Amino acid sequence: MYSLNSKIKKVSWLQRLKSFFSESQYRVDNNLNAEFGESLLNEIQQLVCIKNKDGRYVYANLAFSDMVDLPMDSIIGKNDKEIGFFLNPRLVQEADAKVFESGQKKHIPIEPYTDKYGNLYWFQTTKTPLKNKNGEVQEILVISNDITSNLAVQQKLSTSELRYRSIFENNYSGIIVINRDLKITNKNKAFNKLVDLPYARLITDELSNYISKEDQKDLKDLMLGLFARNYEYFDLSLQLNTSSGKILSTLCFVRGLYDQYGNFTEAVVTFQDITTEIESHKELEQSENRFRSIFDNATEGLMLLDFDTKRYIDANNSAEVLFGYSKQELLELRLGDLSPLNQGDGRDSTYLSSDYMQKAVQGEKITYEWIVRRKDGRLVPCEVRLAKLPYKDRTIVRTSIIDITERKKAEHLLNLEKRKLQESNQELIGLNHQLANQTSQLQEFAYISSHNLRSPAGNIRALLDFYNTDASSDNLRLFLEKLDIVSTDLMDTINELALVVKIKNELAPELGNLSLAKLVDKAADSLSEQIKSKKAVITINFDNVHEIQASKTYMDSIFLNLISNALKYSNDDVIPALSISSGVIKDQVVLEFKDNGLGIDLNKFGSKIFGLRKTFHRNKDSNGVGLFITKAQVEAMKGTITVKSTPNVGSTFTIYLPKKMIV
Amino acid sequence: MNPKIAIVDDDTIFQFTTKVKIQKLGLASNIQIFNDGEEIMDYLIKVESIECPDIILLDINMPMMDGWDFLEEYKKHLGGSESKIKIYMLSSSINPVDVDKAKSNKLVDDYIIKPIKDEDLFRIFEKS
Repeated sequence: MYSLNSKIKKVSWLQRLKSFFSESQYRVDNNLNAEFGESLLNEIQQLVCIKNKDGRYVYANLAFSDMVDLPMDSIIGKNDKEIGFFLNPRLVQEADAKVFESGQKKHIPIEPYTDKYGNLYWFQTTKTPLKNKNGEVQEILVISNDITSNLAVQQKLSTSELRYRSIFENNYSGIIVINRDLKITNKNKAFNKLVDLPYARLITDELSNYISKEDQKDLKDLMLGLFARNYEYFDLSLQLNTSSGKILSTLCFVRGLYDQYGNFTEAVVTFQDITTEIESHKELEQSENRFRSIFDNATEGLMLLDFDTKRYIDANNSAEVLFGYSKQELLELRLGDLSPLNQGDGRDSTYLSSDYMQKAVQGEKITYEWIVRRKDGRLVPCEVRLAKLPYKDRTIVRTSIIDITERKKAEHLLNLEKRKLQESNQELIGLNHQLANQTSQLQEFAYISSHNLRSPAGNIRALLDFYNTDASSDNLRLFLEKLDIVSTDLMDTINELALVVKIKNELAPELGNLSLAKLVDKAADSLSEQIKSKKAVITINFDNVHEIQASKTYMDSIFLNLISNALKYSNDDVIPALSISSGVIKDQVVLEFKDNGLGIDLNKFGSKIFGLRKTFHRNKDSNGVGLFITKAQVEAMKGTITVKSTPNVGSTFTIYLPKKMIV
Repeated sequence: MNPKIAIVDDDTIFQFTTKVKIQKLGLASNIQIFNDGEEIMDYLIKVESIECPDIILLDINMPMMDGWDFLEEYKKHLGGSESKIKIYMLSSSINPVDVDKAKSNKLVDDYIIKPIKDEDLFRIFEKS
């Protein structure tokens, strides 16, 4: 170890130390002793040496010795050239000389140095004159700091600064730097653009120009945390009022900047314009609210079914009312819980609804009528519409349900009305048919009348022609004889027609209580001659119905006609037997006249049997009027008449009259 | 030329007056009377074709077999070779149904509304 006391005599060691420490950053007590001072000098990183007027080293510390890679002892007495490590020893000597001459301390900010391996170092050097009592400079104290690594750091820093500045300047986000008072100390182009400022860069600005007082207060409150370094950054939403009057919604990220002692210096504020996002979010929210409102307030019951889990995931108020379940309860139900086991037509509800759902899931829009079961067990007829909803990852089916109880009632009423209308229509058709029938009958009657009147009239004309061509007495006799026949025929015809007209015109024939037996008796009286001559037998059976309420005139005529026909068209070889009976079939009174007479070939004459002036036998007294009138009379009493007959076996005439005619 | 004529009608007065009229007009001397369709049908089936009438005056409304039924039967039994017989339907009916039905029947030569006039008879005999 080099001893300061022995080697340095001319200058007080203490003085030297004091000089050193006054230059250095170390704070040392004034009362330090030489030994402590020496050891201290060897501990420090700075290169410390003392050179005399001749430029020779009188002291060098351990750091110096390490740097030049020479033992401390061998340095003493050598000059720079001899040590040989400075790049330019001449410049060093000149600088030393100036200090000796001027007696002034000299600071050399940067000095190059290469070690024997060729490594370049940079030093910052202070040269301090050490003076004797007379104030003459004896030696100089040289303290050098190795700033090589500092320089590199500085270099790096400036690169980094450049990089960050570039990021700052060219960033698309608005970035500002603010101080404690929210004064803007720096801002980038993007910020200017954000707040619609001219492109020209205006550094000095105030954030209060752009944000509301409320926002300022919020920001300041949060900044307090940065100042205290409770946190180093935070974010908040700010509304920026641009210079053109727009209001932007921004999300700000604020980071505090601190000095080496940890004191807050500035904050960097980065703005992210989220106006569009906010707007679209608002729109989305509004849209969502709108649909929510429509969904909730829809008059039809709406439910959303998750097809995969077969559970309802949403239900509106109307669905609650319709089913009598609360929404919560509805969401706990499964598909099928809201239906009875079977539908109205007996089909299985579960099977059917699964089928409908499947179709809906395949994109079909389904509408069907459905009976639902309410919580209280009541069954309600509904109309259900299914539609698959576009939904990410899930299969959702919208179910719309409308209570159609009223509609069903109305439909029922409508059906009733429809049926009534159909009945009325049927009745009308019937009436129409009847009317057409009557018209046709009337027309037929007109033709028959005309025919029946024209025949005798034509005959009279022909007889007159006959007599006029030869008015002999013989011919006159013949003429009168023939005219008598024609006139009788004419009278008969006119009487028949008058009778038919009377029957047809009599809308409501006068009714009376008539004993069927008496009706037979009366007719038999009138026909007693024929009965007697033919030995005819008439048997009656009126046990079932013996008295009816009907028109006496008609019934007399009908009985007389049918009994007289039985006698008239009897079989000569057989004793005429006529049986007359009464009965009830369904809602009708039935009167049957069965004979064993000639019969009629119904295949031949069936369609004409009740026609006027239709005769089917060559009897002289058959005139084809009786059955025509009988039929008209039966029909006038709202009845019908039919015939069954076999030639040479007999005929059966059956009259059907309304049951209410029974007394 | 003395055509044979058959009057088929149940009206005796018509039978008498028509027969007399034909005779007086000298149109025919061979006049046969039938009371209904069945009578003449039986006759036509029974006799040789040479004895068949050349002209039939046929009434519509008759008992047993009326004019229409006669035409059906006639067509069925004799409609082929014997169709040379001229058939005239005579009736008091002015019902268009009857008129049309007669005129549309190929066996019927004409429909004449009663009473029959001299001109009708002249026309009938001219054609035969």
